[in-house]
Amino acid sequence: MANVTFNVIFKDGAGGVFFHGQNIPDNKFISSRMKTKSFTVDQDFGHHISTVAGSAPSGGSVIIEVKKGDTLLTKEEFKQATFGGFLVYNV
Amino acid sequence: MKNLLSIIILIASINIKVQAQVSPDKVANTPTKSDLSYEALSQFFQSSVTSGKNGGFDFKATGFGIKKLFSKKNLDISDYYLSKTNKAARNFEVSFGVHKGTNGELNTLLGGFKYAIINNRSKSDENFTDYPQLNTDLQNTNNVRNSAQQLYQNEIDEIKNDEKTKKNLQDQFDLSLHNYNSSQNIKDLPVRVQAIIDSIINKNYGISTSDFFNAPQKTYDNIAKKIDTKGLLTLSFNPGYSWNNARFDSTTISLRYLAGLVKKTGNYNKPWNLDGQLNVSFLHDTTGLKKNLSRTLGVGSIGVNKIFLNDEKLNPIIEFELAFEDDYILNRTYKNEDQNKITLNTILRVHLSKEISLPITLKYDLKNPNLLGFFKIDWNLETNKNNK
Repeated sequence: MANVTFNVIFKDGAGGVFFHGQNIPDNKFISSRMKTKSFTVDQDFGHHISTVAGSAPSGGSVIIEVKKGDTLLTKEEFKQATFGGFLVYNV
Repeated sequence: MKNLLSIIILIASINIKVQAQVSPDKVANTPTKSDLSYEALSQFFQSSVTSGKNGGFDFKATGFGIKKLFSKKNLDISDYYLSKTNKAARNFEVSFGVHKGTNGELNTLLGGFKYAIINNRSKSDENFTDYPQLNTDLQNTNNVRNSAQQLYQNEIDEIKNDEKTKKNLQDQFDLSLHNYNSSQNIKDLPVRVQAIIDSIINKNYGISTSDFFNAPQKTYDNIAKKIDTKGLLTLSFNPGYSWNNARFDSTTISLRYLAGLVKKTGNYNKPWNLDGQLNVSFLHDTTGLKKNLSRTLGVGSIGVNKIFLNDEKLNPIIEFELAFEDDYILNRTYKNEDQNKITLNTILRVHLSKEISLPITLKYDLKNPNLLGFFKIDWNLETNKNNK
């Protein structure tokens, strides 16, 4: 198992993102209103697919980074007003 | 632009106004505001040519429009709506124009500014995920996507004794998920995943897959329409200078308030709007000294606007406004001039397309029955082709 950190960056606007994945609490939510826009969970070594769904107003951009320590595992940018997507990475 | 100039030339002989502004509907997947809102506060740039007695040329630009013009960064409409730092720039508008004076010559310079004191119609100030319905829609789509990918992943994991096929399937799956992130098109997912998704949605929600995945955007659009009906209060200051006479001929201070009347009806898609305006103009008194602004005219109007017809994307097609206007000369009434004039105004705005709209205005003098009518064509220029 390893500590995996999910960082959410709201670019130029407000929004929110829901997460699903191993050891991530059901419908874990990060909003631009929250002071802390990241969370860390333990995940097994190996291949992972976590899902996200969220919103940024009027096509604003939301960037989601997945890190193990300082190592970037994957990074996805969503520019749609409402979006759903997948984070594919190896821990 | 060539087309616009052609139209101006064609219709200059009748009492008509041709107006050009950047397209207001380039915000991704967001319904446009009604024409009423855009008249109250422009977006980037707006120019208009007006014929008739006091016709002329006008140019308006928001602070953001000017910022965009001189910025080295390619500011797009997303920046306009979303960036907090652009809030003041969005709400501040400057204007200037050249108009005909009383002798029919272009000799009056008009300038001024407008500021939106209250602008609750700005979507950048809203966090759409504060709305529970959108959160429910997003959670539902995320749950379905998560379940489908887990089921398909299990199928790949269960492949034994064929590591090459297993790796190929996994690589294709991972690539398709990445492609889906960009396209948001369910067709980019493996056919097997699509079938699993169809099955889950059919069993749990009883609607089509496309309706299910369109639900968040539909909810988002409805929220956007609600925001478009919130309050907008603008204050403007517009002095006018006559260079022939080397004097200020007028100075006008205006207050305008727009708000949707939808709380009781709940009809956000075809809302009623309240339109209240209060203007005070300080005008040159021709019977006084050469340089004076002694005449004071107060104009108040109150009206309601209704959107009667929208297109399938909730953009207005037909709007109608009914208003009472009272023009009252507060100081220096001329001889044989009515101090008070009350008119009943109607405006029918027909949006022929996203680029062209046709507002037709009729003013009826209630005290001295007299009908004055004019119309104009609004022409929206599409200057943000990179931002669809």
